Amino acid sequence: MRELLLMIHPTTGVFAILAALWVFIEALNASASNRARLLWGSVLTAVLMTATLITGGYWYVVYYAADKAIILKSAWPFAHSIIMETKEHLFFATLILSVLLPIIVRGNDLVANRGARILVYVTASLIILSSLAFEGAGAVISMAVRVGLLN
Amino acid sequence: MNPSETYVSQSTAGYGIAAVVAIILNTLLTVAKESYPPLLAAMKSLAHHWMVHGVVIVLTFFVLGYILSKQPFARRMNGVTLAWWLTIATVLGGVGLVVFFLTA
Repeated sequence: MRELLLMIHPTTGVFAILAALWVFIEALNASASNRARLLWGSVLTAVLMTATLITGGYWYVVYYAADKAIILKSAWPFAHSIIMETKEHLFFATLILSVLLPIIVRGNDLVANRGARILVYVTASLIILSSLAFEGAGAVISMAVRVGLLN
Repeated sequence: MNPSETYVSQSTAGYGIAAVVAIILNTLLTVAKESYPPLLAAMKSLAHHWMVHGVVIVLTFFVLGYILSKQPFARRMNGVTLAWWLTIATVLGGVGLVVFFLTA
């Protein structure tokens, strides 16, 4: 169960990144014909990011303590003290941005409103870039557990 | 440029500013709870401190967003300006966290 959670978490995270990228590209080509896709993409981003929070958060609260102990005794203690600590707190910023995205898309005419379109580009970009950083951070953290167990 | 081409909707303005505040608050709350043990203890007494932290940030976003979206300024918010604020908040929030944990 715990291993499954630890695989579902980055998977939904990657799909959230793809959904945000989809929104970015649809916004670049905003027209009357892709309004529905823009809204669906933005809602999907928020839903997938929330799923990422739930799966990762549950694993973190219930199971992470054991891994934390291994990491802190390993040759890579920074994987917890800097990388995990930053990731677990900065993620809330990405979550907020993900929830904001459908609010922007739903409330504005992205075809006529250049300001709103730019806001979508920026919000989607911030989601994508921060989430890619989290994916990398998660890989380092997982590797740190391996380093602790093998050495 | 025509304001209708740059001004965002009231809900976007309200929740956008709320997002800026929540992202900055996220970093400040992290620094505060890690630096002031009684605050961390108080949060732990409610539930896992990370969950309490998350609830505070998410509630701040939704409550503040609802309030701010009803304010007069929300009818005249430039989307590009809001995008800049979000970028600055996210970058500062992220860098702030990294620097804090690097030096803690």
